[in-house]
Amino acid sequence: MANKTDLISVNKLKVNFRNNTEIARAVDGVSYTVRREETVCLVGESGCGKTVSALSILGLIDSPPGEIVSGEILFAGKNLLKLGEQELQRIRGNHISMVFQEPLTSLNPVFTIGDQITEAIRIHKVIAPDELYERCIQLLKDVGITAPQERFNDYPHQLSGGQRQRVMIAMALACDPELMIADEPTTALDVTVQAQILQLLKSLQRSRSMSVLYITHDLGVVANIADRVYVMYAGIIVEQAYTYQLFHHPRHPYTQGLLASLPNLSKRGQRLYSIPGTVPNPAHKPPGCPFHPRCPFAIDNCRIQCPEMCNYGNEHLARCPVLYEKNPDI
Amino acid sequence: MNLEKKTSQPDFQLERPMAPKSSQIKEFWLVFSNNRLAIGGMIIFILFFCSALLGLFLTSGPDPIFDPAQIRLQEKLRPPLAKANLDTLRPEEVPRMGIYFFGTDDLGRDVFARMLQGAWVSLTVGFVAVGIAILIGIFMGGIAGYFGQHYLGAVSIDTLIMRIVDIMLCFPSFFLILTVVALLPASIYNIMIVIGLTSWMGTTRFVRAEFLSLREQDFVVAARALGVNNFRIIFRHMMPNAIAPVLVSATIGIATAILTEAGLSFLGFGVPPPHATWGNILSDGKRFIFDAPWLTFIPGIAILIVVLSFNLFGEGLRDSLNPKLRQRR
Amino acid sequence: MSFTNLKMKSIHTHNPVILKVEGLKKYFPLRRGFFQRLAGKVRAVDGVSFEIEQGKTLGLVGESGCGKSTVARLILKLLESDEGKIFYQGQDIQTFSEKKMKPLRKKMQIIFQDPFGSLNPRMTIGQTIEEGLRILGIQNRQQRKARLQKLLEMVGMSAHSADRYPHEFSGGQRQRIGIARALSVEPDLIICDEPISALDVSIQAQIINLLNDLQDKLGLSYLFISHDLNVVGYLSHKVAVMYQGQIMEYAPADRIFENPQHPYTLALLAAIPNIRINQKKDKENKLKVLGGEPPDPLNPSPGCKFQTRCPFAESHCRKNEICLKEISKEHFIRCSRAL
Repeated sequence: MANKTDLISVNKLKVNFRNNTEIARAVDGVSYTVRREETVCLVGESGCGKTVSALSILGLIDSPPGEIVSGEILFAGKNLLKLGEQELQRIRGNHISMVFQEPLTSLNPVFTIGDQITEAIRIHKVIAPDELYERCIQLLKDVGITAPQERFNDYPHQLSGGQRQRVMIAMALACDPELMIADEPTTALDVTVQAQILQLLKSLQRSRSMSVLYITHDLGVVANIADRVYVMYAGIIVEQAYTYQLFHHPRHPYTQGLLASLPNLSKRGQRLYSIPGTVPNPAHKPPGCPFHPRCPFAIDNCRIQCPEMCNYGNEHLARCPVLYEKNPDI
Repeated sequence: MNLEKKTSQPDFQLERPMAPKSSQIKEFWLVFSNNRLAIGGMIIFILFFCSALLGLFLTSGPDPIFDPAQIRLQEKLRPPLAKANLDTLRPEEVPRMGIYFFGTDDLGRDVFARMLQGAWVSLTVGFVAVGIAILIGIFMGGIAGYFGQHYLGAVSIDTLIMRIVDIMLCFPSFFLILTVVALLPASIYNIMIVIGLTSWMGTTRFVRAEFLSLREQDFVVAARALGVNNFRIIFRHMMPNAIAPVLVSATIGIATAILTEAGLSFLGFGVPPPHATWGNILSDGKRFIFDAPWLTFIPGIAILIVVLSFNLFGEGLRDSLNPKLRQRR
Repeated sequence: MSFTNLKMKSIHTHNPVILKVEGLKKYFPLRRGFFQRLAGKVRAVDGVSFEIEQGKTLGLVGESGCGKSTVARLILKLLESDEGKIFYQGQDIQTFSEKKMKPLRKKMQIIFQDPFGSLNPRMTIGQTIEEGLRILGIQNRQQRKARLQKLLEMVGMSAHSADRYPHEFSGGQRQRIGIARALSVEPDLIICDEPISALDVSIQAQIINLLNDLQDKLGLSYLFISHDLNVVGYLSHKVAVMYQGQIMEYAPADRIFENPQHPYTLALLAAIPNIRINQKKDKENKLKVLGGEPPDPLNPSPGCKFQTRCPFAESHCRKNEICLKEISKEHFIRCSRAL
């Protein structure tokens, strides 16, 4: 599996959260890789463990209640889970950076935009003040903020949501990271602004030849931005494929169900397909395949044993042996 | 893959609740019971409550079991756990079990009996004063929060009430109480009422803030859209959701009221003399602090423990009633 | 399925109008500084007119802050409007007092976006729904219980749910309960304020289907407020596109999607990420990006509100207020390009 261009690979990661009475297996043996210069999407519903798995890359899981049980995260030959806090600190922001969902709360309201970006650079680099300023302005320009010299001294509340998210991206770019993790960066934004930000991320990814791990629940966004996709459900990856493959030949009942249940004008008048039931509570997951209570294809074995990934070739894997037996190749 | 055709059965398998049934009290207890300090506070709270109630029965009536007013000058300033000198006492003067559990004071009165009597005073002062404060606070806060945007002439109701609160907060309340108590005939009821009337402002602010945020909550809007009347919205929808922080502040408020009463009694403005309170036991004892330190320490430590336990209990309540903390999965 | 045919046919047939809104306006005063000086007015809703036919759905689309939720609250008279008229079955309810409004409250209900805030955490599901039944005037306890069970069943919840508290349910289930509460008073019109946007993707379709089924069974009318054009396109008979407190385009759903006329509608449609992608890499899948920022709602410049972002804006767009014009039958746009 080890590919030469692998930038980061997460192997069989397991993360639990515990409270007084229960243990929630938030991430339950997840493996994925992000290669150099590609955009990978982790897609899944709330509580499927997509954010948790990304936060564990940066060692940002609070413990307690969180606890990384097993697995490894290899980045540049090092296992990030084994590193100390100081070594992680050097990697955070510098080699791997993160953009969060809420542009309102992820900027500190009492500092100016300029302060916060220069700070992001200064943590990792020693730079002369005027050069620092130049770099900041350049960063703001890069993320498409008009009149960056004026914006430099603005406070976060003076910017619109889209601009704030741009500033967040500028901060994430501050040290030219190799990997940017974007956790639902457009969910809180309007569609037209979302389109701007997606466009920006795409062009930045290309111009800076970095990799992006993009976390979202929105299949439309996935289709638009991703090179490869991992679909998560209840703490496990149920399907992985190149984007085109996934949308045109989904191989897991969950992915199929999600795609079929998206409404649009052309489905008018037809009844929408809907996946019955609800997303399982991470603390009370069903045994066997976690999707079986909602799956139209479930057989007895699904209730007992969580299936392995079935390989459809061309890096298209899906965790459903039932469909695989019916139709192993395209 | 023709998923649409595959499943003709609709998505109507009836939905059942996700989580197993659990009452809110049970969940509250789960969090609360993990907080040892709060549990300790609650146990002392209950002990104090029981002993105060018991104290009322044991120290009152025509022939009390522990007589707090019995003067035995020949037995003055006996240390704690001292045996009564049976030779010098008349039979009706002999303390129960022939022992002074907490010693005697300068008039030879049994400090244990006096502490029991004082416990009841502290308890009632605490509860009645805070009860008054809470009632006023909920009423004022509720009006300010719910009807605040209505105008009375030039100012809105909210502005009016909150400015009254500000003015009340400007007075140093202890001195206000001192003044009022000096003017009124000294009685335990006056003290309760005065303490209550000067400590409702915090609750008002709490309740107003809660109501303001609850007003905007969707379930309240839904109730309004259904045509539920104001009375029911306030008491059925908003109050139960606003009561938790009030309860917390009440618990801590009781501690403050007990302290205030003790302070007043210490200064001699409290409950009139023959009646014992922890404050005046402390006050009487201060003259003998070197000869009879127990007269100062026993009521002092009792006040400390009770106030501390109420505060710990209140903090514990706050932590376990806080829905943000509780909804964490 | 019979109802689908009915629905397809009904898109161009006309039913009596159940709700009509005319020139609705709501300006929020904005106070700033220590002395709460009046700093200006935010034109949240600035002259909105539309009508909803019985048994039909009107989709109200717009981005956050365009005033669509305010419209919902104005119609329900949870907020007092500054100007304009609201006709419910021909009666102008704008002038109604709270007392006179009471019987009408039952006829119009609302479903909310946030399934976590829309149910009282201290009341059981049964108590919440029964409150509506009591208002409906069902005094008999047995009858209420029976009706409650029926309502729960109608929204796809088991009857056991009645004595549970909201925190025991998932988001989608709570949304169903919210719908049951709205249905408890037997309304004619339900205002759905982004009812699915806070739900998981796999749950959204369930709720959409539920809303559709209920419309079919009970003949409900919906005002469906959303920022998601796909959903609105699927559900609505007519669509109104809102921007900065004004309706920019108003037409039957199929025409809005097949033949959009207003530049803003075009931009919105172009910004939706499409899941129908081409294999030839992402160059063809590029989103058409609308530049610019929305105007400051405090001091809007004269003329068209969309001028700051409009690719076709001309000098006269910056001067004159532009009205809604009918460009073809039942298709209105607010744009100077409409002739």
